[in-house]
Amino acid sequence: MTHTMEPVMKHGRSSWDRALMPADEFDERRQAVERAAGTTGAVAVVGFADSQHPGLVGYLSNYLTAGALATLICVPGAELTLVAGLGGGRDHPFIKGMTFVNDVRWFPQLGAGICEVLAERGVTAGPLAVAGLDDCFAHARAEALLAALSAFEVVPFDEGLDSLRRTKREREIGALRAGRAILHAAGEALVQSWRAHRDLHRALTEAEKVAKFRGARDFRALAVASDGSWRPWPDATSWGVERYGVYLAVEYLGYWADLGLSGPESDGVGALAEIALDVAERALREGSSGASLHLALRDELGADARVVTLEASGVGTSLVETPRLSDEDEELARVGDLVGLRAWVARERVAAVATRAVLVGNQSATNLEAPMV
Amino acid sequence: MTSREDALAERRRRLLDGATAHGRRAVVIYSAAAHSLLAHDGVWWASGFKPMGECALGLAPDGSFELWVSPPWDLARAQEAVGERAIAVTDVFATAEAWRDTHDVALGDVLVCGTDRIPRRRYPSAVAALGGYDATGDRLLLETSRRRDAYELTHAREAARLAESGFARLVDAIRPGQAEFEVVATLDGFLRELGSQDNFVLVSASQRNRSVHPPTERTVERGDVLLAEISPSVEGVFTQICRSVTIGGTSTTVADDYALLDAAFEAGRRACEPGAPVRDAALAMDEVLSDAGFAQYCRPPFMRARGHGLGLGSVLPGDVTVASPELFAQGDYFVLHPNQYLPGSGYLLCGEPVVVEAGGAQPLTSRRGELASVGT
Repeated sequence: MTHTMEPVMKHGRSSWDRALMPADEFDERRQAVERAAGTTGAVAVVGFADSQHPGLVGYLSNYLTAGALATLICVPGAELTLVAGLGGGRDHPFIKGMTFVNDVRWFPQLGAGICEVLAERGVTAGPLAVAGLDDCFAHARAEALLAALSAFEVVPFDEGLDSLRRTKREREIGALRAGRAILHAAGEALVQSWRAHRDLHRALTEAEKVAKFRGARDFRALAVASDGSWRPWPDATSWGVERYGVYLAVEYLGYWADLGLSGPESDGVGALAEIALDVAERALREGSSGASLHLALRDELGADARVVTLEASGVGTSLVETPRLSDEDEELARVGDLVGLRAWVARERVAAVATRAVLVGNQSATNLEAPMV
Repeated sequence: MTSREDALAERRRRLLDGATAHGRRAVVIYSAAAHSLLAHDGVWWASGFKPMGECALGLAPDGSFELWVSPPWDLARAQEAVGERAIAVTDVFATAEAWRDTHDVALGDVLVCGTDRIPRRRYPSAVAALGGYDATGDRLLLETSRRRDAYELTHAREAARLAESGFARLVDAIRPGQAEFEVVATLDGFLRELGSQDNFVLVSASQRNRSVHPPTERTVERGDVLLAEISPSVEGVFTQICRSVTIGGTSTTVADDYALLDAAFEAGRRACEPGAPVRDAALAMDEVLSDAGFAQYCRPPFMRARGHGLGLGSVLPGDVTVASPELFAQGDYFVLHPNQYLPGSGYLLCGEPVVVEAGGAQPLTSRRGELASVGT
């Protein structure tokens, strides 16, 4: 259910927050990645990223590409190399402002460039742990790249990276909290605008402006149309509605947060969404599956459960990531998982969504917005 | 004027005709919904529907089509675009395979378009459903969609109007002390109010810009030159204007350098003739700069390209560079911009969306951009 319209470019604040994400944070991450990759026997790690999949590049370097492919080369004991920019290095002064990585390059032939960097670091053969290839490349281009890397044994590292990253680090949680704070401000602006003007497009424009002024790099919105269906804003052309139900999401420093809002005229649908979240949060703990959460909903909501679509998945550098707790998946929640709960409710032409981010514990889950001890 | 439905039907007819000329009976166009200013979305072009999730359009030998939409809950929006031909799916390739069977289309009879957007992760499913593919369909789609219809150009002109209006309002709103990202937030607000549905924006400011880039927390101050690439969209058609604004007065150096770029733009514009090599437009612009003694700056990292295509329609004629193998065609729509770094003033922007006609490319903006100045 959770899905938004991808813009052609995330064009909000693009920077390195040295206070929240100091260089030593990335040192710690790198060590963890190298340990994980080392279990595969890899002699080096290479990660690819695009604007939808920041992956290893964003995780280890802080650099978030706005469009062009980015590559990070990690050889244990050597400095990181970031291959990025669109054509010839014009962007490198800007890129260097977003990362602590000093070695930033661009190659006309990426595969050859990767081999060149690895050779400089004394790596000319052996297993190469690679992440992001399947998401960031079409088949033909991937084949050409792999041909250039034929001296190495390419070992897929996507699952290993996902497994490592599903437990969010404290500073990542900090970024998520900051994103939620931005959303609350944006939501307040939306509500105020709606009360004053009863114009949903205007209200969402105001929400986006507040979010961007507060440093969000990207802002997404879905809104309920007059027929009760969810539409991406602002792509639908008509937003004349008498009541509002919106789903807002922001990306801040590469981390996503989301928020559901509905007006008082939602005929209890919004309230039901919140109740569904309460049920899901109480039921979620180590070992929970998607099926167990849905069973809890049915048990506690009875007939009302039929109008609720519950989604539970990891949230971090994407709105939906590991673990995916659904009826179709067999994944189980682990202690330390940061799970985004979304309860979508639709009753006739009225719809609403409520969201919550929770940390999974042994016996329970903790709302991310609960006061920190 | 041709109606939207007629325009889209004509597009599909031309594409199917092109596929037939390549010995194929049917077409499947794929979209990953990973929208890019520099990339074509064939599903959007053929249906008028801008995908939000993985999506594909199947064009059958009899000219009928289906639009396979994900996520399934986006069906209502898709049906507003194409009626009952929109079908909610969870796997576009599985659906495509079933569709192929329904229309008795063999694996080798399908021309696949948008293959450069199919992620490697989905390659096995794509091949199983549609057969092996190469870039033939991608090129055919670009060439077929290259001929802009009145429907698309109407939106291109509207997008240009939004860009100019948004920029004009932004110039009034810029104040020293604002962060680059705050300038963009202001601009976004204006463009939303004006009706833009998406925007590609690069805004940066410096006493001597090295490039134009996404906005940072750097503040705009007197003495800076603010650069803005503004690219709003209307109904999926993007435009781009490139503007430079001095903060607190304009030095002679900046004024002279901008005039040089403006002259380069004019030289490039005249070279954009139907049938002429795209590289000639780049060379014409380079020549103006070279004659002024800046030949060494007419290459990366001091510049990238002298223009480029604009999605979501065809992105031909592609990047306007001295290495381009393309030829201009009548009606080509793209942005022409001699943007580059010069040692005196740093990076400057100067560019307009244009359409190729006999006698040179014609800007779609109401007036050529000028070096603006605020806070004097």
